[in-house]
Amino acid sequence: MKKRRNILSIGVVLIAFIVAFLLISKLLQPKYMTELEEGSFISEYYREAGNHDVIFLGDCEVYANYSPMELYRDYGITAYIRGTPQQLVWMSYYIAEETFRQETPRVLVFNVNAMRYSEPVSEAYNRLTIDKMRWSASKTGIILASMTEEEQFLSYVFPILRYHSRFDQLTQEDFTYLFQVKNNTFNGFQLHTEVEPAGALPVKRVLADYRFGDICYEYLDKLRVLCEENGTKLILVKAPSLYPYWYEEYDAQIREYAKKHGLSYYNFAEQTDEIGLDFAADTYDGGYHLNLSGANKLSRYFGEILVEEHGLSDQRQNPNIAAVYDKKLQEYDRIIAESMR
Amino acid sequence: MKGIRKILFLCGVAWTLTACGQEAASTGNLAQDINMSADGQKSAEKSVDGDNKETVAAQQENLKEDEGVFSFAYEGVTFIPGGTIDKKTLPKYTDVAEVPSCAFGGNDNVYQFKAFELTTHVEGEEEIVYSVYFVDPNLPTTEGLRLGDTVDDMISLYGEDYEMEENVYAYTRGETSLNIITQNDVAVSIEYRLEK
Repeated sequence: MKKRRNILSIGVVLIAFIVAFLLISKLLQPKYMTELEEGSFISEYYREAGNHDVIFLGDCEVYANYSPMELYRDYGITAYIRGTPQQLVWMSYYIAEETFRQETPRVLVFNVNAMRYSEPVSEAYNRLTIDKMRWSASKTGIILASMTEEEQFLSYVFPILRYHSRFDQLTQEDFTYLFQVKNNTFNGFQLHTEVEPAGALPVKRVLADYRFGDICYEYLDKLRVLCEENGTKLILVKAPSLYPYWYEEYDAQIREYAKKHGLSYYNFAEQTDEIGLDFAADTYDGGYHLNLSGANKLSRYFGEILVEEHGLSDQRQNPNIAAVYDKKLQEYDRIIAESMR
Repeated sequence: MKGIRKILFLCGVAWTLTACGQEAASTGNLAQDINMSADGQKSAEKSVDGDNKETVAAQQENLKEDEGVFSFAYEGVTFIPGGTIDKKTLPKYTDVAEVPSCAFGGNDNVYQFKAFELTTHVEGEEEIVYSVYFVDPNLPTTEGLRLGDTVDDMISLYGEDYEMEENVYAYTRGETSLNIITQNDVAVSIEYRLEK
């Protein structure tokens, strides 16, 4: 009897310990809700996964420059942007792998800017993409492929190893969003209504080597094959940002790759006039990213390509989809009106 | 009572386990590392009078003497990668661009002079020199190298104590370096840089 009581009390203590450990661990992790909100983008998708015609992958050049709301409003295209800051090619591959377990889009759009980076850039960027990913083989893969030399795999498994010293830096956000989340994007699109006209840019520097790294091609190949296996069309794009420079040598390599594998490639940086972009009005940070006005123009331009050249159909007649998107559009327009005030 | 002791013991074990992990960062530190979160760092006003000129000059001189570093002087102002600048004493520049930092995260200021670009990284109140990039073929380095000079010219000025990777030559002094990119044995890019 006494033995049973002892076992029971040990069990209770153990459970209490585990609950306390998990709670503290959760409290100490960054929430990415109001500060560094880009860290929440990856997990917003899980609440929206399924039934998208188009999935975008890439870095800030996707989540700042294309508006899925406009794609739907103008063409009835359902799209979601799975973009994260400094998303590298191998990250895009693993995020695509994870996405295909959730749904099979007709088109996957990959922004090629990341081809210029052959190595992980920094732990901070890794965290923004990986921290909030759900556990799966894809998350394991992305961690192993992305870690810098100073990072430890275990710190992703047990985030408390990384964030234990945040005790004295906890803010209201950590408590408010301990058990709740909010959306920071509209289908992955980060809305900016501000205007900061493009100004001075650094000179175009000579590079020692313009060739993309082998690892970038390796993962681009894997992404292409993954799309083929799922019957999804892969489209390559380059967003129309003024900086960092997209060198002619970079462009030539992507054109060659696209030609070799029969892929479509659109370098929108070369089509700013056709798109109607005005970098005095259509950017929120001096030409690095588009603001709402610029994103609307680019989305309308690209939407037409998706319909005319890639046969995407209008989903607005589908009552289930229309019900969801009409509600989203209402909220989208409300937030825009509010931020313009 | 026994239960409480067990809990305290387990908490102690957990604390020990977690405290010996890698150096932790706050979201504040992460924020410093992320380009797009540094919206607040808008700055760079153009003015040319100087209060701290002597202090900065003395700091620069100490850096040069103590560590043996590359430096570049222009219109009486010496730039040392890793040293600070005083915006009030900067020679007149034509423009300044604020760009996401490649080396540090956050934002860099790129001051454009007629013959070169000065890249600084903003750290709180200070601006740290990250690089001096040559634009004008007529502008010599401190030791006399210009864009368009040959590899032989480079070796005669800086010697053979360089590291070479394909077409890039790098001379290192302390935490500073002089990087020269060549095409057909001719210098097409010259840059003083902080190695970090």
